[in-house]
Amino acid sequence: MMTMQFKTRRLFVCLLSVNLLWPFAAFAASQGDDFNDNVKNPSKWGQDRLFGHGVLTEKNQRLEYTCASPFVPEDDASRPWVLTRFPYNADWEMQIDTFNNTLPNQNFQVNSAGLTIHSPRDGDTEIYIEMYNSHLGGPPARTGFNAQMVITNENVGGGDTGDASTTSGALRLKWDNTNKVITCYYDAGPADDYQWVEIASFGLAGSGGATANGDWGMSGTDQFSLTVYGYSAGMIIPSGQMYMDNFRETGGVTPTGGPPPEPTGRFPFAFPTNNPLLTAIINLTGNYTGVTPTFVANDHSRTYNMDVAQDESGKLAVMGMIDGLANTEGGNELSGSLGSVVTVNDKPTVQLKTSFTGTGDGIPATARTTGSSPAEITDMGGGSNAVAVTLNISAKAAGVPFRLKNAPVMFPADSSYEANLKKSWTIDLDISRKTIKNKERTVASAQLLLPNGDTIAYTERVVRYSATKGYLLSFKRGTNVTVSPARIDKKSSISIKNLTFVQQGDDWAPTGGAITYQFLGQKGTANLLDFVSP
Amino acid sequence: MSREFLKREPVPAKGFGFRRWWPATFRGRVLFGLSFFAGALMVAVVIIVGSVWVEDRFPNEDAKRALLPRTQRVVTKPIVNALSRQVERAVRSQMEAVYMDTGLTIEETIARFLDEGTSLIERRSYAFRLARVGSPECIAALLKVLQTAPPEHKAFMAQLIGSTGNPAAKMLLWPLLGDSSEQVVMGAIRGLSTMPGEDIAARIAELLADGQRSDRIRIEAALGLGTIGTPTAGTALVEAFRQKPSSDLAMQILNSLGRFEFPTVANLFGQYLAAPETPSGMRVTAVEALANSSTEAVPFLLRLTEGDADADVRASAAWAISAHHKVEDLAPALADLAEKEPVADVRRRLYEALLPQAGIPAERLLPIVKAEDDIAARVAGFNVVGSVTHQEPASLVASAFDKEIVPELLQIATAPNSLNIQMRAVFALRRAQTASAQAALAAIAESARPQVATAARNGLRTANKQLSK
Repeated sequence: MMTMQFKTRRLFVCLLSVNLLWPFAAFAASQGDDFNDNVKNPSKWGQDRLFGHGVLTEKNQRLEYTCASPFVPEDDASRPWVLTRFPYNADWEMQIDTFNNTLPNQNFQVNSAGLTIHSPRDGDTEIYIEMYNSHLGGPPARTGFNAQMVITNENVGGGDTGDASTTSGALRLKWDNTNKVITCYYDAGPADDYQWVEIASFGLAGSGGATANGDWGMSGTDQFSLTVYGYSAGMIIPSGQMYMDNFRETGGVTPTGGPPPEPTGRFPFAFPTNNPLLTAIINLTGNYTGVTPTFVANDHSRTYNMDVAQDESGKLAVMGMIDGLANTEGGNELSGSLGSVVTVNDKPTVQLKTSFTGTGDGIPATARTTGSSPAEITDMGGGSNAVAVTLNISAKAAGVPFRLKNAPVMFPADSSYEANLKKSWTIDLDISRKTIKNKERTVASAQLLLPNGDTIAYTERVVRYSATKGYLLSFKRGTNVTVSPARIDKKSSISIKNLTFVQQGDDWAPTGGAITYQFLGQKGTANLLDFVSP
Repeated sequence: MSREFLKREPVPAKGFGFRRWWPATFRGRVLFGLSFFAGALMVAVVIIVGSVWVEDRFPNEDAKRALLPRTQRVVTKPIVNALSRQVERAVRSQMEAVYMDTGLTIEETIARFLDEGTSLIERRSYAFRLARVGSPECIAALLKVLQTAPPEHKAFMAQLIGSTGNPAAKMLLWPLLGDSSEQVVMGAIRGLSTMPGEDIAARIAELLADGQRSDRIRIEAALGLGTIGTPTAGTALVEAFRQKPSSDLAMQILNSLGRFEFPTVANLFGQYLAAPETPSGMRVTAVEALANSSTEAVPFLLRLTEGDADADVRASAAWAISAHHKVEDLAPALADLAEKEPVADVRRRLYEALLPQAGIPAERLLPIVKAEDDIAARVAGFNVVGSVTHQEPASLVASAFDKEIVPELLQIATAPNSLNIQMRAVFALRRAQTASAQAALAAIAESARPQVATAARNGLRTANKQLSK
């Protein structure tokens, strides 16, 4: 935690810098926030944009990023600076202190905090600078500084310090109006004084940057906007481990023009069942009939007739009959759990686990079967289809035990299989403007139609559109309105990240987005544009 | 002893000497021989049947139940083992018949397999027979096709080749582990992991440990090691898990470790589930993985069902218990838990776990089930009551089922509702098999949506079949 003594020294250094080192900047307005009042100032900061469980909180005289429980795949919180924007046609600069004492210790864990400068022309164009702590790719965890330029969602270049072995740092961005270049600096040990080290510079008019150049298409009166952010992937960030402090900008001007319009409308998305590259979600509920050629009796195949029910977690229950088999009471009705359906390596996979006790052709028999098979029908050629399963069987017939390990079994798949294997689903988004407590807000609701015909309704929630990141939508704990009485479905969720739009007349059309879907015990991710009908 | 004793003339046997019983006539000798053979056969049959009976009821490998462990190990167990091998061979041969009994000679099979004029979809299934036979000609044909086949077909054939279990086919699959196509490598892993050999476990363990490989390949390797299930495979999985891999890979490693005997993985699962930093989703994965472990996991799962603070974990533990069909004496414990459990989702899984149990205390459960607000838990409870109704048709529970529950199940199955719930409502009626349940099934067969109506018809057909017996 930063002490008051340290804060005083920092203030002194800032004053010294402003008065002695930057004499020309004295004519420009200087603004900032030292976060010492522990209250978010609405005249300076806009509404936070949250994704997952990341949170920015002004407390302990600093701006802390925390994440109580990790959300897959990541958590993110950003806070727009609304007091000023940054002119394209004049010099400006800004800086912020950073602290990172987090403990990423798994290969998917990483976190960072920093500043992002956004283009007013393109929501997917930005420059960010951050201090990070990463365990990606393996130990040890590394703290470092990174600056990148992203143009239309494509990373065009940047700089990275690698392991800087520090917990404290500072970040600085400086705009050179003459050359149209943003230079990014860091300081890996700002305790004594700022010792800025250049990490990258980017030319925004096509030239001048030492690291990368691009044409942002900006002109005279355009203004950049700024957000501060915290980010984490796969980890809990407790209070006090990651924060920013002492934000200061010089050269910022009063924002002109209103906020960019937020896309609204009804947007239907349908999973493209004919795209084999996407992860399908399968519903197996239905009636299955056929013959078991591998369990013949008196040289004829046994017929079977099975009814399967799959619940919202992918758990399967079965009832039915197989020729020649009888349960312990001599009846033909066989029943039990069949296992579950899960996603393994982006494929819906049936994890079979069944048990039988009774008689086979009058002979006492028991069997326990386990196996795993992709829930897909294989073309066997000659117009025939089959479901190929590898089974482990531990059985006893007339008291003689036998075991089969990894036995290949081929179930001919007749039309009943094709009729029952359902994988089509849709999500309808409804984004609209609504007055809530005398303020106009954008709200989003959704209806998810599952492959089993159930509809999950997600009620309205307030959302914010970022020109850079689009909408971040997360739908969880919806209500299954098909079930009577309706019930909360905790197992179905949809999240859409970076849902961006372009305006076409009065309508908006999606231009990008990543969707993560999870229901019926399975999950997948995809580019949302693949779900848009041509 | 004096050698003089050995030189004495033998004294003719008196009384029971063999010659006294040997028939004098040829016919008599034939009859004697046949009787002796029949007697020996009968003795052999008695020994075999007796061995099977003894091993069935007093298995030698179960120290608590074995009658005469030493004798069984020498006499009955080898006999039963020999029988088991014969049965295994016969069943496996039936399973493989779809690939092996094609009506073609092996030469014709090779010719068809190599016929490039025919689509690979038609030809690729022959890979199984060729790998199973494993002659030099068969291997050469397989090598030739594998060299040029597109990745999806190569992966399909790799899996088929492995499923033959023929160690000679390994040489076909080793090179595929280095294939440039991820799909082929994954097919080769799937194929190899169904073959015997510690060399395979070691090679797949290398793939799992190789951080340069894609997550998909490493996940497939984890899956393969779970299939192999040897101590080497287990060690490799534990080691990979300790390296804190990505969440998808960690999930698959847990799933694979869940297939091992519980005592060998109990510490790892215990510690992982107890660690405060373990995310809730991963805890659920870990618990559900134990559905595939040995029955020693059941007490551990019961403790989780009873005491874990996370309702999702409790529900998963209850579901995992329901997958351990071998344990049938849990009904009182599960009923206790259902009475105490505050979350409907967990109670639903407890009802499901009760279904295969013996001695379900249905009268205790009935009021809880009838009080369920959550439709999924309610229908799961109705299934338990339906099952008990069938076992005890004269009980109060059966009476309540017929009077109160059957009309509700009929309504659920025929009025708009989720297909999953409706199917399970039909299952509850099918379990009970009472006259009123049958009448409800008949009504459902007439008026419900197609899948539900079919399920009801299937229930009626099965019940009628039973009555006709």
